[in-house]
Amino acid sequence: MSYSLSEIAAQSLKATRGAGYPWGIAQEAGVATAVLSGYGLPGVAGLCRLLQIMAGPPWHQMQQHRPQVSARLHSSSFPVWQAQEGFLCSVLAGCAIADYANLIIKAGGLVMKSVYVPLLTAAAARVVAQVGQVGVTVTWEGAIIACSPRDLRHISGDDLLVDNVPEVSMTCRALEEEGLHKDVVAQAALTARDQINVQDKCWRRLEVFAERTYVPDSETSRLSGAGAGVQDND
Amino acid sequence: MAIQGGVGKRLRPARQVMRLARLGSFHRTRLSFMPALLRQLRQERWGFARPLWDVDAAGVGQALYTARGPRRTYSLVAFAHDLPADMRSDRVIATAWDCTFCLFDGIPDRHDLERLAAQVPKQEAGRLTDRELSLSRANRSVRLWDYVVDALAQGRQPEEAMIRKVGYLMRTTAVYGSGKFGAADRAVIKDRKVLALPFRAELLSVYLIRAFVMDLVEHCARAKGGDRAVALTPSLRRLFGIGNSTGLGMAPFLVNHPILLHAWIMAREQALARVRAVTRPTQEEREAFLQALDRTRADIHQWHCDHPLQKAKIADLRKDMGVLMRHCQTQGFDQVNPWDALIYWSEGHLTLEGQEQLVSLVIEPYGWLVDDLNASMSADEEAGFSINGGMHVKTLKGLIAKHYDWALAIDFSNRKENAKFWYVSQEKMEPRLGLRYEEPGSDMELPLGIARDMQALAHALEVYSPTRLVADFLLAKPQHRHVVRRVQFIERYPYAEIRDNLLAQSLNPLDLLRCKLSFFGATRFDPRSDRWLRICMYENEPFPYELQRGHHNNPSVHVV
Repeated sequence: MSYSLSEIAAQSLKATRGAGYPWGIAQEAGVATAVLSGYGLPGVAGLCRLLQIMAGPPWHQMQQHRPQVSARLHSSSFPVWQAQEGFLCSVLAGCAIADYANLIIKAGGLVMKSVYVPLLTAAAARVVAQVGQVGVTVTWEGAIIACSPRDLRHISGDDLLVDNVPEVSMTCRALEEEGLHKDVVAQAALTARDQINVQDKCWRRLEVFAERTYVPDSETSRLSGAGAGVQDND
Repeated sequence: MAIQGGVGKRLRPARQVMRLARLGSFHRTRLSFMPALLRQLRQERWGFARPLWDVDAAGVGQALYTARGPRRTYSLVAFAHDLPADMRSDRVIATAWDCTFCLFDGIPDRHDLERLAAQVPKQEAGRLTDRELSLSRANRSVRLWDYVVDALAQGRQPEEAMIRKVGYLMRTTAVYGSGKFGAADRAVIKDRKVLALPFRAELLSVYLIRAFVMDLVEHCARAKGGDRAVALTPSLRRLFGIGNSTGLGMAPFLVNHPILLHAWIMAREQALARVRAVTRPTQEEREAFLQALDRTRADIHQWHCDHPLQKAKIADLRKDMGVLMRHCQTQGFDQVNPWDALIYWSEGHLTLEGQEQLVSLVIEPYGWLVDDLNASMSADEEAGFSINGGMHVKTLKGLIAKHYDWALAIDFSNRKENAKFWYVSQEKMEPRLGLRYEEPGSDMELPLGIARDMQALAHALEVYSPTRLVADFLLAKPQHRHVVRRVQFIERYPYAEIRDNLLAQSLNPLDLLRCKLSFFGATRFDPRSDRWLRICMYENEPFPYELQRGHHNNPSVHVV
């Protein structure tokens, strides 16, 4: 079925929160999924896959899938990120990519090891492009996604939803090198609605996570929570 | 007229403006969205038509209303239903309504109408497309609908007092926009001249709904009374607005759209600052102010409300307006910067209700000076979303100390300060307010306790090296991310944050609703409890056919 981007953002936010991430991370996941969907990329399906493998353990265990940012990032060498344990969560990595944007730009790029659904880091690559007014390319296993400050394009790769990728590279270059001009109008690249299709089973899975953020109603809450009395007509 | 002084110097500080008690005393101004929309429709000479009216004698059927501007046409698609009285409910949990509507982008063809007829009456249970800009529904006023139909059917006009008492024949119980239920995203209309401003699609819908409702009531009267039936006289017609019943669903909006909230408040404060800088108002401007004051005093007498809190506020306002009138009579406006002096005087002599009503009143005569500010009242939340991870922890701590001292001063070990929590109800997926220590569900709390969460952030930062980066801190403590975002934008958007504790036992959620509805331009603010209320929209405003003939609406100052 086709969904509006605001529905996708809201559903992704709630599902990510429901899967156990803090609100601030869930907000980022909501925006990232909507940005990817807006450019015709399967952000919802990607988030769905990630949450299925991430959800379950308590937050302190989920956090082990965040990147370990080595001191090398602060030098001029090309930094390498990997999880403290197991695979790298692409939502947590995306937040760190956006937060360390200046340092990544200074280093010229980044390598991430063992990333689960790397597609979800592409929205953060766009943030890096915006921060540095540079072109940023994300590549893994034949997939290439290129970002400019106002654009995000799928250049190559048939399967964008690979689960666990051994290595993902992010490289920053001056805009001209990327062949993406600063004046590209983002709106023109936005996908028409009928191309933003989400598989029903995928949406339902997100809904299962989202439902964990809802509070079941009781007779008391029905009356007091919304504050209406028995008579609400006139 | 001369204007003196830097406008920026006279902006009221956020610590004065952004308190809930003051926001909850805001009144509609000429910048409010409804009067501003009608001004623009008139200026751009929009035309209106009703190309389809297919409604039977029982008042069931469909109709189409078009609004045609210089560049685009929008259509209200209206469906009138036969709703049994026992199914009529204002609650958002209702499943059937007297009428259902959508605003269509352009003019729908036969296929569109067939599709909409299958979806729109189902409201939340239906699916829209990106050709639809808004979805809404309305119920009849039990008090007034049958009375007006019967009167007109019998060939007589309804009593003015009866109309004034209620104010509307139908009230909307939800007006959705911005991508809800598959409708067009805001991005689709954000660059359009008329619809770019906040809630424009929704408010254009309501404006056309008002025209439809008046046509429907006269249609039902004709069906009932035949040749005896008469139409409403234009002067009585004008008295009818559209009611709206609303609740907590809209309250978290202000916290979740901080950049937009800043834009709204900033426009209003800039308007006030510009007017305060007027050194010598003209005679016309003084008279316009006094006329607006007279109208407001009369409006207050039409403002009926049974809610004890609101009754007390109305009583305060009535008294304030008397004090203000006497002050103006004795002091006059001959001093330099008289509006500035008046605002300054009000802070020591009027309640918050009166002070904020005065803000609306002094802005009213100055369309030429302030109306351009309407264009600055939309905002993109993305502007405040990105986190600057390169900021040092020391800077972040400095911003918290500077802008969130009010939050740090709250004692959250006192249960009264943490008594409430906001959550989303499973049944209708609408925001609700619960009692933390009496009801389950606080583990699924919405992140609206900004003051409490800011304290937690400040506490976590205490043990963190001031020379580290915010990025380092967030990697270690991601649970604080949602409030770090707010600290970083508050310097650029000082009016973005409501500076009160939304979890406190003393919280009056009506203040949040009142603030938002004043920006809409609603009138007859009528709380039915501390969590839901009724308002009136477009009361006394011209109808589409009057607008295109150039009839002017009444000035914008009314009590909310």
